[in-house]
Amino acid sequence: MSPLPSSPPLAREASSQRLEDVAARLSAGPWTYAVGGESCAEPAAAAVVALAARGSWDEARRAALWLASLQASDGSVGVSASAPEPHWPTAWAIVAWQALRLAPDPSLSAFLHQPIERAVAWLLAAGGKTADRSPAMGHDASLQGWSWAVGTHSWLEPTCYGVVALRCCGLAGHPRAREGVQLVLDRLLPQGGANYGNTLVLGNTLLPHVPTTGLALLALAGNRLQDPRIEASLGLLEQRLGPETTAMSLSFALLGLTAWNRRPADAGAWIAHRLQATDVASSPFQQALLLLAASPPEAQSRVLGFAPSAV
Amino acid sequence: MPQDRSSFFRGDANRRQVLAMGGALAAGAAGASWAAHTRRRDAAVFVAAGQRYDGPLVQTIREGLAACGIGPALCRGKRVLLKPNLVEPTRAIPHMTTHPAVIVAAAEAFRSWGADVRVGEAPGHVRDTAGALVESGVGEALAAARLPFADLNYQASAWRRNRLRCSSLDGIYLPQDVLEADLLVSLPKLKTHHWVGMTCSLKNLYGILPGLRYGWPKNVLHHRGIPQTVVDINGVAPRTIAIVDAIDCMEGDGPILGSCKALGALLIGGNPTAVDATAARLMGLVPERINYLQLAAGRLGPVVGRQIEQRGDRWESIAARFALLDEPHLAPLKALSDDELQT
Repeated sequence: MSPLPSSPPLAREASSQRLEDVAARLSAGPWTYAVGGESCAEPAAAAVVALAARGSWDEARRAALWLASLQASDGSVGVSASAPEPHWPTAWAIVAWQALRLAPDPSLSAFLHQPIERAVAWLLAAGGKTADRSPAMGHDASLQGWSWAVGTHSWLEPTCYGVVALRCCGLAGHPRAREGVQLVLDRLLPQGGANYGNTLVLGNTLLPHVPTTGLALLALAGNRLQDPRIEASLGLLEQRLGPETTAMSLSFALLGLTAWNRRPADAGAWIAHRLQATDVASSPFQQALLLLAASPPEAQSRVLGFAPSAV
Repeated sequence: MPQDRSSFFRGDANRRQVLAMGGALAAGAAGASWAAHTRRRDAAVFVAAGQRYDGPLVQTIREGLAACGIGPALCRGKRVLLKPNLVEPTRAIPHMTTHPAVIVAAAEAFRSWGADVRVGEAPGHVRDTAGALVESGVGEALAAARLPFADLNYQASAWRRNRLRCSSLDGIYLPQDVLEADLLVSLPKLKTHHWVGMTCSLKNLYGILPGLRYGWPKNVLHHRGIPQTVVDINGVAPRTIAIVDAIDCMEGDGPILGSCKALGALLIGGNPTAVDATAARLMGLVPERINYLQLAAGRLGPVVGRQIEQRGDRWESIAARFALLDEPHLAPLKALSDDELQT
């Protein structure tokens, strides 16, 4: 991958100041996908996790509190105050709240005991629709993970969030978490990488995507897996990442690579470069993802609940 | 309508003559209200052959719109939302997504008529919309043309009652920019589709629904039936017209992995159902056998050929059979003879 025009030390210095600015913005809210939008659960959760990874506990608490205000009586967390359904952000909320519980001062997160308990209960009861295996589809539709919306199939991304959430709660050995890992592995493409969820349709292999490949690797981390598609997936990300990779793709890819001890040497410079993009400047969600991806590997390991893995 | 319709296309009338008549039509329609326009059951579809991405697309689009009764008077001061197809962009398969040149040309045509134009899309298979804009080349083109982009996947949305009830959905969430649009322009890429045969301007509206509500993919819709939800979405959308990128199309395993099929055409029309029915015919598919067109017929517009006015080039002059996957559910869609397409 070609280096950035600016020298690495300068890029990293600029990045450091820029990251401070981003952290300050995320601390204040609103937690939106884009300027002018309403605060939403996923950007708020990403902000909590990113701030917790930096040890900015007081700042993380504010977003975590707001996130708790979205929780419904059944334990689920919807997309936003105006969109209480669907409930796929519940897993994100669990990850965020668990991250805050890592604060040295336990009083900061004392309010989270019940919200987490209720959210986990909801997550364990929820699941995507299953089906018998079909010759038209390459993946095993009988595996249950999590869906984007009630009454629909399990898909890769919400299943990754579910697996990470249970792992952060010490429930990596729960049957639902184990089946989730099995599903994510099943959805890896034959040559590595992951599509948004399918593998083969009507006999043809679908396209690998960077962000879903990163998320799949993040969800699979910490499991003893002997599957050549994991190395192929890591290689695919290493081949595709660069200074022009867009924020969401870059962030999820770096999280996945870091979880497998394969963080690229240029990661900091790429993040610094991406933070200067105008679309990122207007998106607290993308800023939160980049801030999280910029945190040290050991911090990511703590807040995302993985022990760094190796192929 | 003062002209004798049958005389428009008799013999080898050239496209310029037809376009001149279209201009007269546009002038006649200038005073028509949007609502009155929507009630029209007949529909015109303009076909322009011999098009290239580096050609005078703005002029062709303006002429095509005018030929279908859409002109400056209907657009001035209106909010126009252009909806291309950016379902799962990759530089490796540029014929999967609407070409940037067509999007920018359409924008320029409406801008030149005084409309407030923006481009909006909710990519169906990718959450990273910024990445979709880069991979498709659309982001760069929009920036150069100073066109605003609305990421419909992440916008706040409001519920609208499902008027047509072809599916079991009670209502459909539409994002803010769609709700605020006076005119929605479906800007699809003409492609085969491995489940429903073809995808064009009607199916393209799957991409106006926010992923935050429907997921990636919008699996809520699949579970309620693709043909049924295609029609329901079009039934709640604002007034919609179509400009189809049929210059480089996709055949075979569409809508993602198929091969490029060069057709060199633009299709334009004020009624997306009529446009899609015409597109099906020129692909060698019988529109009456495509499930969502069966459902759309009479609810959203005409499918039968004799109810669709042809303007510009005749579709028969550029007809080219598109290859479909060799699957039992697709085989009945193929026309076995030209007669099956002349309904």
